[in-house]
Amino acid sequence: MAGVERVSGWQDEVLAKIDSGVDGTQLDRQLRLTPTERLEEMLRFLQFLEDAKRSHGDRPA
Amino acid sequence: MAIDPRRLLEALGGKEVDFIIVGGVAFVLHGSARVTRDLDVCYSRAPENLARLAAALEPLHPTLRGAPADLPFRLDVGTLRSGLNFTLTTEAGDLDLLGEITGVGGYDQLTRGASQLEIYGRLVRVMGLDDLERAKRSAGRLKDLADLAELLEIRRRRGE
Repeated sequence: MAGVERVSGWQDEVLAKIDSGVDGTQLDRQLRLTPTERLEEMLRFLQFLEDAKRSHGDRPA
Repeated sequence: MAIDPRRLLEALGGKEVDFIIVGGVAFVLHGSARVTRDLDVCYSRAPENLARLAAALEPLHPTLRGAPADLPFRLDVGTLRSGLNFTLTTEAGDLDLLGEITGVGGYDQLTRGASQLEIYGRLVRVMGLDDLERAKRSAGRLKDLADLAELLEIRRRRGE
């Protein structure tokens, strides 16, 4: 980005040595959405997690 | 309880509170696939803004998250003036009010690099990717390293 100094540090050395596990397909999908749609996607996923937790009750996995 | 960001943003925007969305929701708005359960905002510490912030949140009945239910708490101008960061539970979900962000600064510093994004039809200031990167590098926790990896990949895919 113009006019902004890009810093690097120990994190870059670590990230260069490991597989970050970032799912590029998910990012591509997210980047095609509007900001509001990204937020709504996250909220839908949170709701799914809440529903799954509720339907599972206190039973051990 | 899930957050209701639309309601929170309407409450803040309705009283013309000067704030910037930061943290996990800011990251999601920029394209991250992560999930977060609260809304973090950095707010202006200007006295008139503290009054607007207190008025905006009052209808949402904020309480201190994790505090005993019988602990008296009122989020008014005096409370906001005497503190800096507040972790709140509201009727619209969890809301963190941050006076400053480690590695970046307060509201005035964040404003310079903030993005203006349309969210639910309203233009809202969101912490910029450069500042998010600075904050992630500064925090230096394991989870920040994972976020940094995703952030750098977002930048790469956006051609930055």
